Amino acid sequence: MSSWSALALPQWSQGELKKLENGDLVPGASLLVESEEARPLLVPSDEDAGEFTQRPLIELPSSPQEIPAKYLVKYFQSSSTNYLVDPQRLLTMQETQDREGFLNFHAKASDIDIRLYLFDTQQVIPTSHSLERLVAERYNDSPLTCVVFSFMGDPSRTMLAFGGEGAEQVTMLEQRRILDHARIKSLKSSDASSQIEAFVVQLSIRLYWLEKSFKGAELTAVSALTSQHPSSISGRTLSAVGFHASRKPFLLYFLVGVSGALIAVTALVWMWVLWRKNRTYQFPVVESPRRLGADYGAGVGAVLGFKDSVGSPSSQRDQVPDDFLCS
Amino acid sequence: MKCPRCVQRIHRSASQCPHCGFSMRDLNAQFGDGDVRMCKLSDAAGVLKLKERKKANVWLKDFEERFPQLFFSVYYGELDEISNIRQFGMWLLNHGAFEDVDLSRPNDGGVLLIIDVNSRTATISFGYLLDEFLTEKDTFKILSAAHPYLLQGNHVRALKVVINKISAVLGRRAARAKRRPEYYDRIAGKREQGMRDVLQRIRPSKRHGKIETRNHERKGAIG
Repeated sequence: MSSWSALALPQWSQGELKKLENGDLVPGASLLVESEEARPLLVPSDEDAGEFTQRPLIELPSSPQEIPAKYLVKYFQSSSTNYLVDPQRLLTMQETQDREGFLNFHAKASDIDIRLYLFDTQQVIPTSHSLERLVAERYNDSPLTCVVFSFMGDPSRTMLAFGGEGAEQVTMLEQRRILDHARIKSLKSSDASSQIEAFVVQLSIRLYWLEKSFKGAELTAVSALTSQHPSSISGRTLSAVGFHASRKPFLLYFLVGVSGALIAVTALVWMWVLWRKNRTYQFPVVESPRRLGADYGAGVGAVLGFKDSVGSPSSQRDQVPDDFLCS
Repeated sequence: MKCPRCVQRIHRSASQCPHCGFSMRDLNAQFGDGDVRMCKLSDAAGVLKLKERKKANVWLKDFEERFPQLFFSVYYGELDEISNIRQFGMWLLNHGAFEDVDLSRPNDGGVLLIIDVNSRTATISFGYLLDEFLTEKDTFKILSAAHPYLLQGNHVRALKVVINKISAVLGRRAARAKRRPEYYDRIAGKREQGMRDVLQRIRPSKRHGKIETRNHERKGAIG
């Protein structure tokens, strides 16, 4: 025991303490590494220590409301082909794949694309940037696109705007309605990722109906234009007219064909009925010998009683000889 | 073919029933010798309304149009207890002078439906023309089809069913007779197998001479 107590405990030097605070020194590393050659590598030199102290480890925002500058660039200045814009990696890999998959599917199925920009819950878009500006700068020349700013876990702050060809046709009222419907749907879930999913799905549905209403209105307008000024129809509307016009004759032929077939079948049935009705039957005249002295006929059929309403016809068939006269 | 009195099978050319000795003379003695002037639709029992009679007459006319050799007659009557409906039907068919039937349609082609409202029985009699085309079994099936309406007292409906059913049966038989006349000829005995037919059968074997005959003889001996 005395020998144990006689051993002096190791003391930290000031330099070691500083290194430890900076994370440059791993306590016990000398014990774990047996190789004498490798040991100096573990203990950083003073030059290295100076370098470490000068270099910032992570660039953290000063407040949760602030969007780091490098991400701002990625959000608002870099051109991304993805429908999901999430440079901050707010969603997990799986969630990102799921959302992107759906947005890609929607883009294929619909004429109106969705661009979803994801921000953190409390992050605020700086005044130098805005949704309207982004849409005007980036999506003005593209096909009709619905740009959405979504804040993780806070669907009430979600914003959307339409950009591209035909965006002016989407009224503010319509935009408001679409946004409200999608928001209400997303608020049913408490999980941030599920909220985004619900929002996007509902938005996709609403955009489908919007697209349909556009097509209907376009067709009406085109038909009106065609009747008034055929030369004033634009190329795009002409293609729509061409599509419907190409479909119309087939529909007409189909209707005419079906009607013709129906008329033909009815006529055939009617003819068959008439033929059956007017058909006459001739029997071969056979010289029958006179039977029982009868001049015209001795064909005796069955005698059937109809006295008993419960009994079957067979039970009421009379096959009994006329005993009275026989006797 | 059955005797209307003893309901036994008789030969198609029997002058009187071999079982009970029945013949038309017995009926003449019972019901009378003279003709009875009547219409196709005779409602002596008064079971049909005027409207129903008109309808029934149309059906009877339609039947005649479909079958140019035949006519259909119906008699609703109240027979006394002594009279047998089967025999009465036969007698009426032979003594009925149908005023509204064309002379080109003799009673041979008549189909007579008798309905006795007293005994609540019904029967069908038919002339010689239909001997090969209508059987007792057919008439039973036809009357069975009308049986529910007869039970209800719906005579006009029953008549309609009888006419429809009998038209269908006769139509089928007429078509069959047209397709296969030899079948009905054979039944009717028109082509009776006289010596000529027998000779025609024998001749082909004779053509081949004695060898064929010998072979037949051998086969017969083996058999």
